[in-house]
Amino acid sequence: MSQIFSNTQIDTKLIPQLEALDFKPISKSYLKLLIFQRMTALTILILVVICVNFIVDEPEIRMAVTGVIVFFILILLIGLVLSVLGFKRRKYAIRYQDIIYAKGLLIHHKTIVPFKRIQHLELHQSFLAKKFDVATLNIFTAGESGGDLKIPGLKSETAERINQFLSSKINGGD
Amino acid sequence: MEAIDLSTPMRQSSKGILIIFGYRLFSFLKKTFILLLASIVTLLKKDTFQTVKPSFIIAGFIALMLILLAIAILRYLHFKFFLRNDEFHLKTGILNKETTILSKSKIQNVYIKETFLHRLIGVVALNIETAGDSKSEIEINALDKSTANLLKKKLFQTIQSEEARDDLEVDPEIYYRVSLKKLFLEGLTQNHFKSLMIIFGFFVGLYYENKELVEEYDLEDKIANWLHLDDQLLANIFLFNLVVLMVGLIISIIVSTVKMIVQNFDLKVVEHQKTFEISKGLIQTMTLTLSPDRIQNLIITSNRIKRKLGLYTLYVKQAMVNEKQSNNFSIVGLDLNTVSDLTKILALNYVDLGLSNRNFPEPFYKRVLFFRYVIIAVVLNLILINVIYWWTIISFLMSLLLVFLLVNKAFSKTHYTFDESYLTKGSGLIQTKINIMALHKLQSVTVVQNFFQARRGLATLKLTTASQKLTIPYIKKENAEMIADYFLYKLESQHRDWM
Repeated sequence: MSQIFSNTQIDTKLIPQLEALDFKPISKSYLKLLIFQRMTALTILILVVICVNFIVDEPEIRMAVTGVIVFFILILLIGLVLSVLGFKRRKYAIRYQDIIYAKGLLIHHKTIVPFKRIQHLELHQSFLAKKFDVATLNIFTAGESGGDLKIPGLKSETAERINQFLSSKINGGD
Repeated sequence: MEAIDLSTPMRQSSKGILIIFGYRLFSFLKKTFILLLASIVTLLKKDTFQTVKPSFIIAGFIALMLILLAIAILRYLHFKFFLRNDEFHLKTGILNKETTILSKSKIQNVYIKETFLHRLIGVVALNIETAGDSKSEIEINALDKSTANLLKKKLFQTIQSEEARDDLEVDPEIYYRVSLKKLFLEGLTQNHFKSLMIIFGFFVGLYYENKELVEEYDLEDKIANWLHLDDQLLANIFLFNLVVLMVGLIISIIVSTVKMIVQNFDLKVVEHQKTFEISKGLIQTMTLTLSPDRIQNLIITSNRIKRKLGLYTLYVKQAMVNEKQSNNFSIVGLDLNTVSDLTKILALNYVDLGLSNRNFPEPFYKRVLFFRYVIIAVVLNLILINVIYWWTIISFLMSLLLVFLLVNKAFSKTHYTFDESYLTKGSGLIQTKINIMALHKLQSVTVVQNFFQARRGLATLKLTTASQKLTIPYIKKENAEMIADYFLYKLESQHRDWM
């Protein structure tokens, strides 16, 4: 083993490994929801640009407003592309002692929260999410903000099941 | 022994009315300061202020004071607390009644504060902090000293320990006391760079704002004459700016030294049986009481000069919302032996693993640091070139050299070691900071890998506790995962609570 473990006596091969996990993807409907949200925003912005160009007379104001909106459209487009490309990296896994969620394309995060450290749970489902049959599970720890876990895009039924499972873990103990 | 029975509902000291009233008046004045000032000024000029007679304004002001006083009295009357079983009960509320029950096991610390006003009246304020949001702090504005001390003692006693200890009244031991000389040295050897930058910026701004004034009165020439400078233009300007810099430096040193002495005056660390106390302050004194297992992590800081003089500062970190207050939980002026002994008391089973066991980030991290610092240096240089006449390419190159030196310094200070119980992480640039975190205090672990790291098989490990986020940057990804695996294993296989 590398010299990092020179102070420990435990055979590190016996310790559960993060690499050897079978991660599960979140619901594909969530991708559809994200695309839907962004396309709606894009459409609205494009409509605004068109309207502005027809209504406003002065060319400078037209250019300025169009420029700003085009900038936001570009940002949205890039965000959309990144969301689509990075979607398959959104995965989660549940072990006996903790829950893990991974996400991110350019900057990839893999967060592990032990059941022992879960303070409370919240299940959110926006109006739009309900139509796509997905929900978001929020897992709160006592850690500074950022140490919490937010798993969006779970199939509603799955989210509910995981919520129940985690609740029983933190209330009943293991 | 105790004439005061804390188990029946009691109010705070009646002098609390004055305190509550005083603070409300003060905060009200702070908010309406400008309005008041404007009205007074216009009153002095004319007879009326916005067609309102001065007598009306004075009457309005008196009425307001009376209302504030009435509210203070009502709040005092409707504030009752008591101890029962292992809980602290508080009942407040004039119209909306509110009952708060606090389990003693959730108390992080008890903070007794004595401001100038308190001392005048002869009371102290007592705050109870739990881990949680801003609503989790209980403030008792005024208690007499003996009640406060008794309450403090009782808050840390649970039913089991109480029975065992009622007959033993061991005198608390003063573990450490700071001397004035140490405080003075601490103040002098602080990192003045930051405050200097601020003062420098302030003066530059001031100079530009008053440029006409300076030119009108030929101030530059006058000062130059006063300093007996000859007519060489470049030297003139250089020296003038140097003088400005020196003045700024001296002011910042004086200010921070005075602040250090006033805040840490008569700093005492007292060891009780199960708790630990830090008390300090000149104008405002505070006494912090906590038990070591409620500490989330320890931070020890020093710098090169401080190390030579034997001055280390120990910070005790808890899960707190009140950032300003939590910065007060520090013990300054410790020498190497004392700080290491104190660490072993506050962090049980802590073993200093030594320099040879230190692990560092991968060398690629130096490139990342270089990139970051160069950007800052370029921006700074662009600003300085516009402000100071003599800032040239030479200065720019010198700043690049400085960046190079800083990168190496920063890298060598970013180290980490761990054993079965603790993670020790170093950081800092000019100051040296050592962070000690108990493994069972972890709340969650995150392995982060950005695009550039992915190509090289590197990752950053983020460890979150209730008080902070610790980052181990740019290590090999498999090591990051191994460490994460190990920490989680330790956390999950033990039955130790984080508080």
